[in-house]
Amino acid sequence: MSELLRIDSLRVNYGRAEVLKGLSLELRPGRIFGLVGESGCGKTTLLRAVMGLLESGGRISGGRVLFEGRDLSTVSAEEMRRLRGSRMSLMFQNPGESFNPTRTIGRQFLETMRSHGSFSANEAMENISGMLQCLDLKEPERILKSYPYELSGGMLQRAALALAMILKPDLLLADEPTSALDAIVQAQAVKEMMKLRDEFGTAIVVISHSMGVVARMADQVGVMYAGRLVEYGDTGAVLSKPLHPYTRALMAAVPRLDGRWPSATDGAPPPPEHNVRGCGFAGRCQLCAAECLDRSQVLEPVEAGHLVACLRAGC
Amino acid sequence: MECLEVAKTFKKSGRLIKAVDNVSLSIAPGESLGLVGGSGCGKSTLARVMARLTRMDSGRVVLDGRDISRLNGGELRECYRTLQMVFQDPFASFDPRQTIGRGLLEVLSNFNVGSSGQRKDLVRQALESVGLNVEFGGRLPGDLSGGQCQRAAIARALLVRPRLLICDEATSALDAIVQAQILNLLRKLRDEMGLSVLFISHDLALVRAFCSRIAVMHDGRIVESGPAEKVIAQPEHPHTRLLLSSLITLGESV
Repeated sequence: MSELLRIDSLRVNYGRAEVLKGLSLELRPGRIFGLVGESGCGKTTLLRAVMGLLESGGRISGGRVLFEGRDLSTVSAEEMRRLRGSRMSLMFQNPGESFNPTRTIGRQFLETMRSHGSFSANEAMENISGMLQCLDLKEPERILKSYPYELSGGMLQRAALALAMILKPDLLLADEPTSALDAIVQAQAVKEMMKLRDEFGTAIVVISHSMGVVARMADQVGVMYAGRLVEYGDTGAVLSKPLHPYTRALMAAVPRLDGRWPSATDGAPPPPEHNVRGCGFAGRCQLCAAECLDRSQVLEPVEAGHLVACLRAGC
Repeated sequence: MECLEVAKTFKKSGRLIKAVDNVSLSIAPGESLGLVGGSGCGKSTLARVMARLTRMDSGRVVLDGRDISRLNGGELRECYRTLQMVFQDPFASFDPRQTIGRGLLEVLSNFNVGSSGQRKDLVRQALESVGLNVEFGGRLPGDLSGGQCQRAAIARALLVRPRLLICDEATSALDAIVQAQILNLLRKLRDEMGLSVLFISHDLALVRAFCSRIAVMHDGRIVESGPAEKVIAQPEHPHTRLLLSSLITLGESV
Protein backbone atom coordinates (compact mmCIF):
# COMPACT_ATOMS: atom_id res chain seq x y z
CA MET A 1 0.00 0.00 0.00
CA SER A 2 1.28 3.48 -0.78
CA GLU A 3 1.85 6.24 1.71
CA LEU A 4 -0.94 8.43 2.98
CA LEU A 5 1.49 11.08 4.16
CA ARG A 6 4.99 11.69 2.95
CA ILE A 7 7.25 14.42 4.23
CA ASP A 8 10.36 15.10 2.16
CA SER A 9 13.31 17.07 3.60
CA LEU A 10 10.94 19.60 5.14
CA ARG A 11 12.40 22.89 6.32
CA VAL A 12 10.43 25.51 8.21
CA ASN A 13 11.62 28.97 9.18
CA TYR A 14 10.27 31.50 11.63
CA GLY A 15 12.11 34.57 10.44
CA ARG A 16 15.78 33.63 10.54
CA ALA A 17 15.29 30.76 12.96
CA GLU A 18 15.20 27.42 11.18
CA VAL A 19 12.85 25.34 13.31
CA LEU A 20 12.76 22.25 11.08
CA LYS A 21 16.07 21.44 9.44
CA GLY A 22 15.21 18.94 6.72
CA LEU A 23 12.93 16.27 8.10
CA SER A 24 11.54 13.27 6.23
CA LEU A 25 9.04 10.64 7.22
CA GLU A 26 6.28 8.57 5.71
CA LEU A 27 3.07 7.16 7.08
CA ARG A 28 0.82 4.49 5.61
CA PRO A 29 -2.95 4.32 6.17
CA GLY A 30 -3.89 2.83 9.52
CA ARG A 31 -0.42 3.25 11.02
CA ILE A 32 0.38 5.18 14.18
CA PHE A 33 3.55 7.25 14.40
CA GLY A 34 4.76 8.56 17.76
CA LEU A 35 6.82 11.71 17.90
CA VAL A 36 8.89 12.47 20.99
CA GLY A 37 11.52 15.03 21.93
CA GLU A 38 12.21 18.02 24.14
CA SER A 39 9.81 20.98 24.01
CA GLY A 40 10.89 23.44 21.35
CA CYS A 41 12.44 20.75 19.14
CA GLY A 42 9.90 21.36 16.36
CA LYS A 43 7.29 18.63 16.91
CA THR A 44 4.33 21.01 16.95
CA THR A 45 5.73 22.99 14.02
CA LEU A 46 5.86 19.77 11.98
CA LEU A 47 2.16 19.06 12.58
CA ARG A 48 1.21 22.66 11.82
CA ALA A 49 3.23 22.60 8.59
CA VAL A 50 1.39 19.46 7.44
CA MET A 51 -1.97 21.14 8.07
CA GLY A 52 -0.89 24.38 6.38
CA LEU A 53 -1.51 26.15 9.69
CA LEU A 54 1.90 27.58 10.56
CA GLU A 55 1.70 30.50 12.95
CA SER A 56 2.28 33.96 11.51
CA GLY A 57 5.89 34.48 10.47
CA GLY A 58 6.35 30.78 9.77
CA ARG A 59 6.95 29.47 6.25
CA ILE A 60 8.05 26.28 4.55
CA SER A 61 11.53 27.12 3.26
CA GLY A 62 12.32 23.78 1.69
CA GLY A 63 11.03 20.29 1.02
CA ARG A 64 7.50 19.05 0.48
CA VAL A 65 4.47 17.60 2.23
CA LEU A 66 2.58 15.03 0.15
CA PHE A 67 -0.90 13.82 1.12
CA GLU A 68 -1.98 10.80 -0.95
CA GLY A 69 0.81 11.66 -3.34
CA ARG A 70 -0.25 15.29 -3.88
CA ASP A 71 2.10 18.10 -3.00
CA LEU A 72 0.06 20.20 -0.57
CA SER A 73 1.81 23.39 -1.64
CA THR A 74 0.00 23.09 -5.00
CA VAL A 75 -3.45 22.65 -3.43
CA SER A 76 -5.79 25.67 -3.47
CA ALA A 77 -6.78 27.37 -0.21
CA GLU A 78 -10.40 26.30 -0.71
CA GLU A 79 -9.42 22.67 -1.19
CA MET A 80 -7.09 22.77 1.82
CA ARG A 81 -10.06 23.99 3.86
CA ARG A 82 -12.08 20.98 2.66
CA LEU A 83 -9.26 18.56 3.42
CA ARG A 84 -8.84 19.92 6.95
CA GLY A 85 -11.44 18.47 9.24
CA SER A 86 -12.83 15.78 6.96
CA ARG A 87 -9.67 14.10 5.61
CA MET A 88 -7.02 15.30 8.03
CA SER A 89 -7.49 16.90 11.40
CA LEU A 90 -5.27 18.44 14.03
CA MET A 91 -5.87 18.37 17.73
CA PHE A 92 -4.01 21.32 19.18
CA GLN A 93 -1.78 21.07 22.21
CA ASN A 94 -3.70 23.86 23.87
CA PRO A 95 -7.31 22.68 23.65
CA GLY A 96 -8.49 26.28 23.94
CA GLU A 97 -7.13 26.80 20.41
CA SER A 98 -9.54 24.24 18.97
CA PHE A 99 -12.56 26.23 20.09
CA ASN A 100 -13.93 29.70 19.60
CA PRO A 101 -14.37 31.13 23.12
CA THR A 102 -17.59 32.97 22.26
CA ARG A 103 -19.65 30.00 21.06
CA THR A 104 -20.94 26.91 22.81
CA ILE A 105 -19.11 23.63 22.33
CA GLY A 106 -22.21 22.08 20.75
CA ARG A 107 -22.55 24.80 18.15
CA GLN A 108 -18.94 24.32 17.12
CA PHE A 109 -19.35 20.57 16.73
CA LEU A 110 -22.41 21.15 14.54
CA GLU A 111 -20.57 23.72 12.42
CA THR A 112 -17.67 21.36 11.85
CA MET A 113 -19.91 18.48 10.91
CA ARG A 114 -22.21 20.47 8.63
CA SER A 115 -19.43 22.22 6.77
CA HIS A 116 -18.00 18.85 5.77
CA GLY A 117 -21.06 16.70 5.19
CA SER A 118 -24.82 16.57 5.27
CA PHE A 119 -26.00 15.55 8.69
CA SER A 120 -29.43 16.15 10.18
CA ALA A 121 -29.27 17.89 13.52
CA ASN A 122 -30.43 14.74 15.31
CA GLU A 123 -27.96 12.51 13.54
CA ALA A 124 -25.14 14.90 14.33
CA MET A 125 -26.10 15.21 17.98
CA GLU A 126 -26.25 11.43 18.33
CA ASN A 127 -22.76 11.07 16.86
CA ILE A 128 -21.36 13.80 19.06
CA SER A 129 -22.94 12.53 22.28
CA GLY A 130 -21.69 9.04 21.57
CA MET A 131 -18.14 10.24 20.99
CA LEU A 132 -18.14 12.38 24.15
CA GLN A 133 -19.39 9.48 26.24
CA CYS A 134 -16.67 7.23 24.85
CA LEU A 135 -14.19 9.74 26.23
CA ASP A 136 -15.81 9.56 29.65
CA LEU A 137 -17.58 12.90 29.40
CA LYS A 138 -20.63 11.68 31.25
CA GLU A 139 -23.10 14.46 30.63
CA PRO A 140 -22.80 15.28 26.92
CA GLU A 141 -25.84 17.59 26.93
CA ARG A 142 -24.31 19.76 29.60
CA ILE A 143 -20.92 19.80 27.84
CA LEU A 144 -22.49 20.78 24.53
CA LYS A 145 -24.37 23.68 26.13
CA SER A 146 -21.19 24.95 27.79
CA TYR A 147 -18.80 27.60 26.60
CA PRO A 148 -15.14 26.56 26.48
CA TYR A 149 -14.22 28.56 29.62
CA GLU A 150 -16.85 26.66 31.62
CA LEU A 151 -15.02 23.33 31.22
CA SER A 152 -11.96 22.12 33.11
CA GLY A 153 -8.69 21.64 31.20
CA GLY A 154 -9.14 17.89 31.13
CA MET A 155 -12.72 18.12 29.87
CA LEU A 156 -11.80 20.65 27.20
CA GLN A 157 -8.91 18.43 26.07
CA ARG A 158 -11.30 15.51 25.62
CA ALA A 159 -13.82 17.70 23.78
CA ALA A 160 -11.02 18.85 21.44
CA LEU A 161 -10.00 15.23 20.83
CA ALA A 162 -13.63 14.34 20.09
CA LEU A 163 -13.87 17.27 17.66
CA ALA A 164 -10.73 16.11 15.84
CA MET A 165 -12.06 12.55 15.58
CA ILE A 166 -15.75 13.20 14.90
CA LEU A 167 -15.48 13.11 11.08
CA LYS A 168 -13.34 9.95 11.07
CA PRO A 169 -10.46 11.58 9.19
CA ASP A 170 -7.89 9.55 7.25
CA LEU A 171 -5.13 11.32 9.12
CA LEU A 172 -5.30 12.48 12.73
CA LEU A 173 -2.52 14.70 14.06
CA ALA A 174 -2.72 14.73 17.86
CA ASP A 175 -0.47 17.13 19.77
CA GLU A 176 -0.23 16.02 23.41
CA PRO A 177 -3.79 14.65 23.39
CA THR A 178 -3.69 13.33 26.96
CA SER A 179 -1.37 15.68 28.87
CA ALA A 180 -4.13 17.14 31.07
CA LEU A 181 -5.80 13.80 31.81
CA ASP A 182 -5.40 11.55 34.82
CA ALA A 183 -4.34 7.94 34.41
CA ILE A 184 -7.87 6.56 34.20
CA VAL A 185 -9.15 8.97 31.57
CA GLN A 186 -5.84 8.89 29.69
CA ALA A 187 -6.22 5.13 29.23
CA GLN A 188 -9.72 5.70 27.80
CA ALA A 189 -8.55 8.43 25.40
CA VAL A 190 -5.75 6.19 24.13
CA LYS A 191 -8.23 3.36 23.64
CA GLU A 192 -10.56 5.61 21.63
CA MET A 193 -7.80 6.80 19.32
CA MET A 194 -6.73 3.22 18.68
CA LYS A 195 -10.34 2.21 18.08
CA LEU A 196 -10.60 4.94 15.43
CA ARG A 197 -7.56 3.44 13.75
CA ASP A 198 -8.85 -0.14 14.02
CA GLU A 199 -12.36 0.64 12.77
CA PHE A 200 -11.77 3.35 10.19
CA GLY A 201 -8.14 2.88 9.23
CA THR A 202 -7.20 6.35 10.44
CA ALA A 203 -3.47 7.00 10.40
CA ILE A 204 -2.29 8.93 13.45
CA VAL A 205 0.71 11.05 14.29
CA VAL A 206 0.79 11.44 18.06
CA ILE A 207 3.06 13.77 20.01
CA SER A 208 3.38 12.92 23.67
CA HIS A 209 5.84 13.41 26.46
CA SER A 210 4.45 10.26 28.03
CA MET A 211 6.72 7.52 26.74
CA GLY A 212 4.15 5.02 28.02
CA VAL A 213 1.46 6.45 25.73
CA VAL A 214 3.83 6.34 22.77
CA ALA A 215 4.89 2.78 23.57
CA ARG A 216 1.26 1.69 23.81
CA MET A 217 -0.01 3.43 20.67
CA ALA A 218 2.71 3.80 18.09
CA ASP A 219 3.85 1.32 15.45
CA GLN A 220 6.84 3.52 14.75
CA VAL A 221 8.57 6.22 16.73
CA GLY A 222 10.56 9.26 15.67
CA VAL A 223 12.81 11.00 18.17
CA MET A 224 13.35 14.68 17.38
CA TYR A 225 16.12 16.92 18.61
CA ALA A 226 16.73 20.54 17.59
CA GLY A 227 14.66 20.38 14.40
CA ARG A 228 15.85 17.01 13.15
CA LEU A 229 14.89 13.37 13.52
CA VAL A 230 17.79 11.71 15.31
CA GLU A 231 16.32 8.23 15.66
CA TYR A 232 13.48 6.55 13.81
CA GLY A 233 12.14 3.05 13.70
CA ASP A 234 9.79 0.39 15.02
CA THR A 235 8.56 1.31 18.49
CA GLY A 236 9.86 -1.81 20.20
CA ALA A 237 13.33 -1.41 18.74
CA VAL A 238 13.70 2.32 19.46
CA LEU A 239 12.37 2.24 23.02
CA SER A 240 13.96 -0.98 24.21
CA LYS A 241 17.28 -0.61 22.36
CA PRO A 242 17.74 3.15 21.97
CA LEU A 243 20.94 3.91 20.06
CA HIS A 244 21.15 7.69 19.96
CA PRO A 245 22.62 9.20 23.14
CA TYR A 246 19.72 11.67 23.25
CA THR A 247 17.11 8.89 23.10
CA ARG A 248 18.98 7.13 25.88
CA ALA A 249 19.00 10.29 27.99
CA LEU A 250 15.29 10.75 27.37
CA MET A 251 14.47 7.18 28.41
CA ALA A 252 16.62 7.46 31.54
CA ALA A 253 14.68 10.57 32.59
CA VAL A 254 11.30 8.82 32.58
CA PRO A 255 10.12 8.08 36.14
CA ARG A 256 9.34 4.41 36.76
CA LEU A 257 7.04 2.79 39.28
CA ASP A 258 9.91 0.89 40.88
CA GLY A 259 10.97 4.19 42.42
CA ARG A 260 14.31 4.54 40.65
CA TRP A 261 15.44 8.14 40.49
CA PRO A 262 14.99 9.65 37.01
CA SER A 263 18.35 10.75 35.70
CA ALA A 264 18.63 14.26 34.29
CA THR A 265 21.03 15.18 31.51
CA ASP A 266 22.34 18.72 32.02
CA GLY A 267 21.85 21.58 29.63
CA ALA A 268 19.27 22.47 27.04
CA PRO A 269 18.99 22.16 23.26
CA PRO A 270 20.55 24.94 21.15
CA PRO A 271 18.00 27.66 20.33
CA PRO A 272 16.72 27.40 16.73
CA GLU A 273 18.32 30.72 15.72
CA HIS A 274 21.77 29.24 16.40
CA ASN A 275 23.09 27.57 13.30
CA VAL A 276 24.81 24.54 14.74
CA ARG A 277 27.33 23.07 12.35
CA GLY A 278 27.78 19.63 13.83
CA CYS A 279 25.42 17.38 15.75
CA GLY A 280 22.85 19.41 17.74
CA PHE A 281 23.28 17.21 20.81
CA ALA A 282 27.11 17.36 20.82
CA GLY A 283 27.27 19.97 23.60
CA ARG A 284 25.41 17.70 26.03
CA CYS A 285 26.72 14.35 24.83
CA GLN A 286 29.20 12.35 26.86
CA LEU A 287 30.26 10.41 23.79
CA CYS A 288 30.96 13.52 21.74
CA ALA A 289 34.08 13.25 19.57
CA ALA A 290 35.84 15.91 17.49
CA GLU A 291 34.20 14.73 14.27
CA CYS A 292 30.73 15.17 15.85
CA LEU A 293 31.28 18.94 15.85
CA ASP A 294 32.18 19.09 12.16
CA ARG A 295 29.13 18.00 10.26
CA SER A 296 25.52 17.26 11.03
CA GLN A 297 24.59 13.61 11.02
CA VAL A 298 22.08 11.99 8.71
CA LEU A 299 19.75 9.14 9.55
CA GLU A 300 21.27 5.85 8.53
CA PRO A 301 19.89 2.34 8.98
CA VAL A 302 21.63 0.27 11.66
CA GLU A 303 19.31 -2.67 11.26
CA ALA A 304 16.04 -3.34 9.45
CA GLY A 305 13.49 -0.74 10.55
CA HIS A 306 15.83 1.21 12.84
CA LEU A 307 17.64 4.36 11.73
CA VAL A 308 19.86 6.63 13.76
CA ALA A 309 21.76 9.85 13.09
CA CYS A 310 24.87 9.49 15.21
CA LEU A 311 28.50 8.68 14.54
CA ARG A 312 28.80 7.01 17.89
CA ALA A 313 25.44 5.23 17.81
CA GLY A 314 25.26 2.44 20.33
CA CYS A 315 28.71 3.16 21.82
CA MET B 1 1.84 21.78 58.45
CA GLU B 2 -1.31 20.16 59.59
CA CYS B 3 -4.83 20.17 58.18
CA LEU B 4 -7.62 19.18 60.49
CA GLU B 5 -11.00 18.15 59.09
CA VAL B 6 -10.87 20.66 56.29
CA ALA B 7 -14.02 20.90 54.17
CA LYS B 8 -14.92 22.89 51.10
CA THR B 9 -18.15 22.69 49.12
CA PHE B 10 -18.76 24.37 45.78
CA LYS B 11 -22.12 25.15 44.28
CA LYS B 12 -22.26 24.26 40.61
CA SER B 13 -25.38 24.52 38.44
CA GLY B 14 -27.56 24.38 41.51
CA ARG B 15 -25.87 21.30 42.96
CA LEU B 16 -23.52 21.11 45.90
CA ILE B 17 -20.19 19.45 45.20
CA LYS B 18 -18.06 18.40 48.15
CA ALA B 19 -14.62 19.15 46.71
CA VAL B 20 -12.84 18.55 50.02
CA ASP B 21 -14.70 16.40 52.51
CA ASN B 22 -13.27 16.57 56.05
CA VAL B 23 -9.67 15.94 55.13
CA SER B 24 -6.92 15.74 57.72
CA LEU B 25 -3.26 15.38 56.84
CA SER B 26 0.13 16.49 58.05
CA ILE B 27 3.57 17.13 56.61
CA ALA B 28 6.66 16.90 58.81
CA PRO B 29 9.70 19.19 58.44
CA GLY B 30 11.86 17.98 55.54
CA GLU B 31 9.21 15.50 54.44
CA SER B 32 7.80 15.25 50.93
CA LEU B 33 4.23 14.11 50.77
CA GLY B 34 2.73 13.08 47.45
CA LEU B 35 -0.93 13.81 46.84
CA VAL B 36 -2.39 11.82 43.94
CA GLY B 37 -5.82 11.22 42.48
CA GLY B 38 -7.91 11.58 39.35
CA SER B 39 -8.90 14.96 37.91
CA GLY B 40 -11.63 16.57 39.93
CA CYS B 41 -10.83 14.56 43.07
CA GLY B 42 -10.25 17.77 45.01
CA LYS B 43 -6.46 17.72 45.31
CA SER B 44 -5.93 21.19 43.85
CA THR B 45 -8.75 22.62 45.95
CA LEU B 46 -7.21 21.11 49.06
CA ALA B 47 -3.85 22.68 48.16
CA ARG B 48 -5.46 26.07 47.59
CA VAL B 49 -7.29 25.83 50.89
CA MET B 50 -4.03 24.93 52.66
CA ALA B 51 -2.36 27.95 51.07
CA ARG B 52 -5.38 30.09 52.02
CA LEU B 53 -6.02 30.95 48.37
CA THR B 54 -9.52 29.45 48.64
CA ARG B 55 -11.76 29.99 51.64
CA MET B 56 -12.58 26.80 53.55
CA ASP B 57 -16.03 26.07 54.96
CA SER B 58 -14.79 24.41 58.10
CA GLY B 59 -11.69 22.89 59.62
CA ARG B 60 -8.31 24.25 60.59
CA VAL B 61 -4.93 24.70 58.91
CA VAL B 62 -1.97 24.85 61.26
CA LEU B 63 1.37 26.07 59.98
CA ASP B 64 4.40 25.76 62.21
CA GLY B 65 2.19 25.46 65.30
CA ARG B 66 0.07 28.47 64.41
CA ASP B 67 -3.56 28.28 63.30
CA ILE B 68 -3.69 30.23 60.03
CA SER B 69 -7.25 29.30 59.09
CA ARG B 70 -8.78 32.66 59.95
CA LEU B 71 -5.87 35.03 59.39
CA ASN B 72 -6.37 38.02 57.13
CA GLY B 73 -4.48 40.95 55.61
CA GLY B 74 -0.98 41.54 56.94
CA GLU B 75 -1.00 38.52 59.22
CA LEU B 76 -1.91 36.24 56.33
CA ARG B 77 0.79 37.80 54.13
CA GLU B 78 3.34 36.97 56.81
CA CYS B 79 2.39 33.28 56.40
CA TYR B 80 3.76 33.35 52.90
CA ARG B 81 7.24 33.74 54.34
CA THR B 82 6.80 30.15 55.51
CA LEU B 83 4.60 28.75 52.76
CA GLN B 84 4.95 29.15 49.00
CA MET B 85 3.26 27.54 46.04
CA VAL B 86 4.28 26.57 42.49
CA PHE B 87 1.56 25.99 39.92
CA GLN B 88 1.34 23.95 36.73
CA ASP B 89 1.44 26.92 34.35
CA PRO B 90 4.53 28.95 35.21
CA PHE B 91 3.66 31.73 32.76
CA ALA B 92 0.50 32.46 34.75
CA SER B 93 2.70 33.23 37.79
CA PHE B 94 4.47 36.14 36.11
CA ASP B 95 3.35 39.47 34.72
CA PRO B 96 3.98 39.06 30.96
CA ARG B 97 5.17 42.68 30.63
CA GLN B 98 7.59 42.62 33.53
CA THR B 99 11.04 41.02 33.40
CA ILE B 100 11.69 37.94 35.52
CA GLY B 101 14.17 39.93 37.62
CA ARG B 102 11.65 42.68 38.36
CA GLY B 103 9.09 40.04 39.33
CA LEU B 104 11.54 38.52 41.79
CA LEU B 105 12.62 41.89 43.23
CA GLU B 106 8.98 42.74 43.85
CA VAL B 107 8.63 39.72 46.13
CA LEU B 108 11.59 40.90 48.22
CA SER B 109 10.29 44.44 48.51
CA ASN B 110 6.81 43.17 49.40
CA PHE B 111 8.33 41.19 52.24
CA ASN B 112 10.76 43.95 53.13
CA VAL B 113 13.79 41.73 52.77
CA GLY B 114 17.21 43.37 52.64
CA SER B 115 18.39 46.70 51.22
CA SER B 116 17.98 47.39 47.51
CA GLY B 117 21.59 46.35 46.87
CA GLN B 118 21.20 43.11 48.80
CA ARG B 119 17.96 42.35 46.95
CA LYS B 120 19.74 42.25 43.61
CA ASP B 121 22.23 39.79 45.04
CA LEU B 122 19.46 37.64 46.47
CA VAL B 123 17.69 37.53 43.11
CA ARG B 124 20.90 36.55 41.36
CA GLN B 125 21.55 33.80 43.92
CA ALA B 126 17.98 32.53 43.63
CA LEU B 127 18.25 32.32 39.84
CA GLU B 128 21.57 30.55 40.07
CA SER B 129 20.24 28.08 42.62
CA VAL B 130 17.68 26.88 40.06
CA GLY B 131 20.28 26.68 37.31
CA LEU B 132 19.39 29.92 35.51
CA ASN B 133 22.09 32.30 34.42
CA VAL B 134 21.73 35.83 35.84
CA GLU B 135 20.95 37.18 32.35
CA PHE B 136 17.55 35.47 32.58
CA GLY B 137 16.61 38.17 35.08
CA GLY B 138 16.51 40.65 32.19
CA ARG B 139 14.16 38.60 30.06
CA LEU B 140 10.39 38.66 29.77
CA PRO B 141 8.47 35.47 30.66
CA GLY B 142 7.46 35.05 27.01
CA ASP B 143 11.13 34.71 26.01
CA LEU B 144 11.60 31.69 28.26
CA SER B 145 10.82 28.04 27.55
CA GLY B 146 8.35 26.25 29.82
CA GLY B 147 11.16 24.60 31.78
CA GLN B 148 13.08 27.84 32.24
CA CYS B 149 9.95 29.69 33.34
CA GLN B 150 9.08 26.92 35.82
CA ARG B 151 12.58 27.23 37.29
CA ALA B 152 12.06 30.96 37.61
CA ALA B 153 8.74 30.30 39.39
CA ILE B 154 10.54 27.97 41.81
CA ALA B 155 13.30 30.57 42.31
CA ARG B 156 10.66 33.13 43.19
CA ALA B 157 8.86 30.76 45.55
CA LEU B 158 12.14 30.05 47.34
CA LEU B 159 13.30 33.70 47.58
CA VAL B 160 11.72 34.16 50.98
CA ARG B 161 13.20 30.87 52.21
CA PRO B 162 9.89 29.16 52.95
CA ARG B 163 9.76 25.99 55.01
CA LEU B 164 6.94 24.46 52.97
CA LEU B 165 6.55 24.39 49.21
CA ILE B 166 3.28 23.26 47.63
CA CYS B 167 3.84 22.06 44.06
CA ASP B 168 0.60 21.58 42.13
CA GLU B 169 1.42 19.63 38.94
CA ALA B 170 4.57 21.73 38.79
CA THR B 171 6.32 19.48 36.27
CA SER B 172 3.44 17.96 34.32
CA ALA B 173 3.74 20.38 31.40
CA LEU B 174 7.46 19.69 31.02
CA ASP B 175 9.22 17.01 29.02
CA ALA B 176 11.01 14.15 30.73
CA ILE B 177 14.53 15.58 30.87
CA VAL B 178 13.45 19.01 32.12
CA GLN B 179 11.14 17.32 34.63
CA ALA B 180 14.07 15.26 35.92
CA GLN B 181 16.20 18.44 36.15
CA ILE B 182 13.52 20.17 38.27
CA LEU B 183 13.14 17.06 40.41
CA ASN B 184 16.89 17.05 41.09
CA LEU B 185 16.66 20.69 42.07
CA LEU B 186 13.79 20.08 44.48
CA ARG B 187 15.59 17.13 46.04
CA LYS B 188 18.71 19.25 46.57
CA LEU B 189 16.68 22.01 48.24
CA ARG B 190 14.86 19.50 50.38
CA ASP B 191 18.07 17.86 51.51
CA GLU B 192 20.04 21.10 51.99
CA MET B 193 17.39 23.43 53.41
CA GLY B 194 15.11 20.90 55.07
CA LEU B 195 12.29 22.11 52.86
CA SER B 196 8.98 20.28 53.23
CA VAL B 197 7.14 19.64 49.99
CA LEU B 198 3.52 18.83 49.23
CA PHE B 199 3.85 17.33 45.77
CA ILE B 200 0.59 17.09 43.82
CA SER B 201 0.68 15.12 40.61
CA HIS B 202 -1.28 12.67 38.55
CA ASP B 203 1.95 10.88 37.62
CA LEU B 204 2.22 8.04 40.13
CA ALA B 205 5.71 7.03 39.03
CA LEU B 206 6.96 10.56 39.55
CA VAL B 207 5.42 10.77 43.01
CA ARG B 208 6.87 7.36 43.87
CA ALA B 209 10.35 8.60 42.97
CA PHE B 210 10.20 11.90 44.86
CA CYS B 211 8.01 11.33 47.90
CA SER B 212 8.46 9.26 51.03
CA ARG B 213 4.74 9.17 51.73
CA ILE B 214 1.74 9.14 49.39
CA ALA B 215 -1.88 10.13 50.05
CA VAL B 216 -4.52 9.09 47.52
CA MET B 217 -7.54 11.33 47.15
CA HIS B 218 -10.90 10.36 45.67
CA ASP B 219 -14.19 12.29 45.71
CA GLY B 220 -12.85 14.81 48.18
CA ARG B 221 -11.49 12.31 50.69
CA ILE B 222 -8.15 10.76 51.44
CA VAL B 223 -8.86 7.09 50.77
CA GLU B 224 -5.40 5.71 51.39
CA SER B 225 -2.07 6.94 52.67
CA GLY B 226 1.20 5.37 53.66
CA PRO B 227 4.85 4.92 52.75
CA ALA B 228 5.32 5.50 49.00
CA GLU B 229 6.69 2.07 48.17
CA LYS B 230 3.88 0.35 50.05
CA VAL B 231 1.03 2.35 48.45
CA ILE B 232 2.42 1.58 44.98
CA ALA B 233 3.38 -2.06 45.53
CA GLN B 234 0.50 -3.12 47.78
CA PRO B 235 -2.40 -0.73 47.20
CA GLU B 236 -5.31 -1.39 49.52
CA HIS B 237 -8.11 0.89 48.38
CA PRO B 238 -9.94 -0.05 45.15
CA HIS B 239 -9.44 3.45 43.78
CA THR B 240 -5.67 3.27 44.24
CA ARG B 241 -5.75 -0.07 42.45
CA LEU B 242 -7.80 1.43 39.62
CA LEU B 243 -5.34 4.33 39.27
CA LEU B 244 -2.42 1.94 39.16
CA SER B 245 -4.01 -0.52 36.75
CA SER B 246 -4.97 2.30 34.34
CA LEU B 247 -1.43 3.57 34.25
CA ILE B 248 0.20 3.30 30.86
CA THR B 249 3.80 2.52 31.66
CA LEU B 250 6.78 1.56 29.61
CA GLY B 251 6.67 -1.94 31.02
CA GLU B 252 9.49 -4.12 32.26
CA SER B 253 11.21 -4.79 28.96
CA VAL B 254 12.02 -1.15 28.20
